Amino acid sequence: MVEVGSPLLEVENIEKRFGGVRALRGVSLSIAEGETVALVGDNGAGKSTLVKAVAGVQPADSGTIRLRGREVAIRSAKDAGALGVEVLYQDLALANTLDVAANVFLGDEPLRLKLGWFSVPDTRRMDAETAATLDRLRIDIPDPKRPVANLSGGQRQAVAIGRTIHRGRRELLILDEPTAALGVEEVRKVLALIKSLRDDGQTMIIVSHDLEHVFQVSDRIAVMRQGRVQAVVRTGEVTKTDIVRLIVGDIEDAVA
Amino acid sequence: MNDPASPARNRIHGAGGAFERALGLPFFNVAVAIVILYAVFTAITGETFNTVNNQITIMRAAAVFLILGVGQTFAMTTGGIDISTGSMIGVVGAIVGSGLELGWMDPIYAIPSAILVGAVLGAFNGFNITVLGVPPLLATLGTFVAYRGFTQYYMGVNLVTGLPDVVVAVGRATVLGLPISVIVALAIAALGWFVLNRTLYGRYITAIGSNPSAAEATRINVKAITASTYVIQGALAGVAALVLMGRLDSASAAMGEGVELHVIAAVVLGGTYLFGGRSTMIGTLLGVYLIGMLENGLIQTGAGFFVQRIILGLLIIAAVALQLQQRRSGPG
Repeated sequence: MVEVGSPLLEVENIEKRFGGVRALRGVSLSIAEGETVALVGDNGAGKSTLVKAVAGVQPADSGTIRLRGREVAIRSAKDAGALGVEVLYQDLALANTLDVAANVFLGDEPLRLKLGWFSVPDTRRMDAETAATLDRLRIDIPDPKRPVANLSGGQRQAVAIGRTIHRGRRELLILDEPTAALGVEEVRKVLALIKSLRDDGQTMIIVSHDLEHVFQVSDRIAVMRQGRVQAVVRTGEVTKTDIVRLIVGDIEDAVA
Repeated sequence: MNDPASPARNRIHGAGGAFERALGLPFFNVAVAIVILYAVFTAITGETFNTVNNQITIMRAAAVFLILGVGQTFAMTTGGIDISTGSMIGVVGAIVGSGLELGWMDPIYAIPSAILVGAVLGAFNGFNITVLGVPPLLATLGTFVAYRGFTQYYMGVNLVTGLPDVVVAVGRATVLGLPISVIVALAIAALGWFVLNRTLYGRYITAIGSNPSAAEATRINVKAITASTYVIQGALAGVAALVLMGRLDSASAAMGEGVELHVIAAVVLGGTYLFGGRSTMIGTLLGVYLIGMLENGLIQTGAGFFVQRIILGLLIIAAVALQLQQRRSGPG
């Protein structure tokens, strides 16, 4: 197990309503630095809503979020980004018709000639740095000069993760269903990539339906049910059956 | 995503020879069409088509379409479209033309003021599309009608004539046998190629057209960049208006009517995706030439204006249908 530090992210009493529906009913969760926490729960349990609140996409109605002990206001995705909180969504936010390096550097290109919008990017440097990043993450892409639309799902996921990593260590990386819709071999590679991020000390929240994957990569598992965090358990101390029972509500367990 | 055919496709492309690489070029179809049509018109007209003079005539007629095609390519790359180009030309002609005729402004301001008026008209499109969120097709359909209405209201049946030499030169003068309008158009196309393929701007409009939320998630200012493509298109409509005014030595309420069809057809035929994310300036250049050649050849073979319209309209449909077909069968 990875050595775990002081709390990096603490959310307390997060509430979120959509009309008459209380999507989040006072959610509290604490994540330590360097820790990988899996967020599981049935559809509609509030996983995505919680992630969107932390990511600023749909800010919470009330409650507090603290980063490294300091209370922060996350009102937009830009706020979250500025604080070093980054979400990798299931739909892989890649520009399909651009190549790998263009995607890795999108919006953050090194320049050969600085002219505002009409600056000329240094493509040679981008290609070299991209190759180095892919190498370091052990991602194999035979032809990185082709549009990413031509890549497999796993390669695309890897490029999306590579892009995030390349821009420097994030305080908190949130992966939304990182293994959904991937083939067996691709799942293996993406999980290996997540593990290597964990070994590098990256703090992560992983939202997943797949308990097998959750057990492979997480330090702790937070189970959500009906807009609340039902239980938080150490991955090594429970079985999948325990988690399933928590998800469906067989056990009304307290926070461990 | 887990398409079992994709590794094979990689292999084909990766190991492909020159011919396969040529097949993959977005403007491959239009290049083939040009070669075939060129041969057909040469055969039918018995060589009057295939002369230097006639080729210059084609280019002179197509210069306006190329100037506008550059802006249209940018707008289309973001997933947008501008169908108000012809109407913007009308407004520029009316304001700048009458300003010159009535002596409101010195001829030296003719060129900058045409570009400025065009840019303002384009900025209005950009505002409606990005700030108000009106879909590009409808936003520019609105100004297509409104700008033309303004021109007709303002000009009535009057004709602006006796334009200053500088404007007439833009439309008529030649350098080493090449019309200045053609040189200007080619220079704009070259600049457009550079911007599209070598600058951040080209990358960003491609990213916006490819996946707006991906672009939004970066530091790219999606709204400002998207709006700017319409400003550029407007400024280029100003340049195109100068060329048309100069060529005719006049401006009327009908100036620029119908050019938008030629421009959109040329850009789409050239291989730029109507849905954004993929574009080619070389394709636009070839598409413009194809349209110019088609019109010229049709006139020479005796087909009238109405037949040309029928063919032009059907060509747009065919080009889009072909793109949809390719999109379904291939990636990107």
